[in-house]
Amino acid sequence: VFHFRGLHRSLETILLFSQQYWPAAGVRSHHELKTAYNKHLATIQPGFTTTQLPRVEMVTDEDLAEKLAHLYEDEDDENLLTEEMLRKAKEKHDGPEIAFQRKLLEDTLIALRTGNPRLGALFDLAINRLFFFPFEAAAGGSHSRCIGVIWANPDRSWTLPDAMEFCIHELTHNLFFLEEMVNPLYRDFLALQAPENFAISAIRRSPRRLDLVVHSLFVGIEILLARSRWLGQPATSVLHPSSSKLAQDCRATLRSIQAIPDWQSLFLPNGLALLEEATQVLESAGMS
Amino acid sequence: MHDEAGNLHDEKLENRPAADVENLLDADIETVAAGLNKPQRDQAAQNQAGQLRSGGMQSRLVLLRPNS
Repeated sequence: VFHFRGLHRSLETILLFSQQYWPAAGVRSHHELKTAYNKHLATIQPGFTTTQLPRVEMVTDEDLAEKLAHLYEDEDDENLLTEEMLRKAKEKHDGPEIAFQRKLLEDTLIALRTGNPRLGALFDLAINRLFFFPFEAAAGGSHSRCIGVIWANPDRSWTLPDAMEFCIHELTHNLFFLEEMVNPLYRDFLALQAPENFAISAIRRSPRRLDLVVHSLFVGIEILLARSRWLGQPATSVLHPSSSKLAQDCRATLRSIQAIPDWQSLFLPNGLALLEEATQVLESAGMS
Repeated sequence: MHDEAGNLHDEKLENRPAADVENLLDADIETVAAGLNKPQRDQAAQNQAGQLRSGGMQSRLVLLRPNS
């Protein structure tokens, strides 16, 4: 969202989301907005998902990490993450490995703040807690149940650019959760659950529920734009394919959405506008 | 910014104090907040209340798996 729609649109979303807790005189600083944002988050999700710090907090406390991990429990067929699986993962807790993960993500945030200071500042505003948990099924993730929280599970094959792409990837999911709250994309959430309305994910390249597919499309575009504008093209990448392949996959995703019968009827105007913007970005020079 | 091994190289990559970053967006935040009008804010508040009521936002788990 930062690269796709710009910093101001990203801030607008966070401001609208937090407006109930703005100071009477209005919001004039990162500190005031972060305070309002966290006050509001604490009313819709557990308070331990937020932080008192003005920037992202690395969680290495085992008990707190476990509490955060339990918020990711999900019985969704594609993302099966059960209490039993979390319990087994906890038994694998490995202090030195967690220390490695924390150091990598600390270095990553320094690189983000330095390489793209406004993006780094937006990350520190929108993300409260980053936690580590040795669940092997994924490299990390986000959940709409705990906006502002990122689970990270990097392994030793990750380079610093991989970890930077990971942070951009997860920040995009979180900003998109907020966008969906203040300016929804879909007419009827139940209709999205019908398999005939599934499309192909740009990241996993398999059929998924439409809202998750739209997330994947904008994550893919964010990675493409970040690489082309400032991050550079990686020689190898653990998490995302080469830019030419990722651009192809994003276009395939758009086509698969447009192949759903009467696809426009599933979206509200904001959803249609975002897809139109995505089409334009993917057709622009440098995205082939 | 990357060498052949994919490592990031940039002489600016020093440890920027977090406090610098925290003030960086102040002017942008003030500008954007001042530009939000009442109908826009009311619509966003109404949308958000609807999303929270419907529970549609309670079920989005997005896991990242390494590139295959």
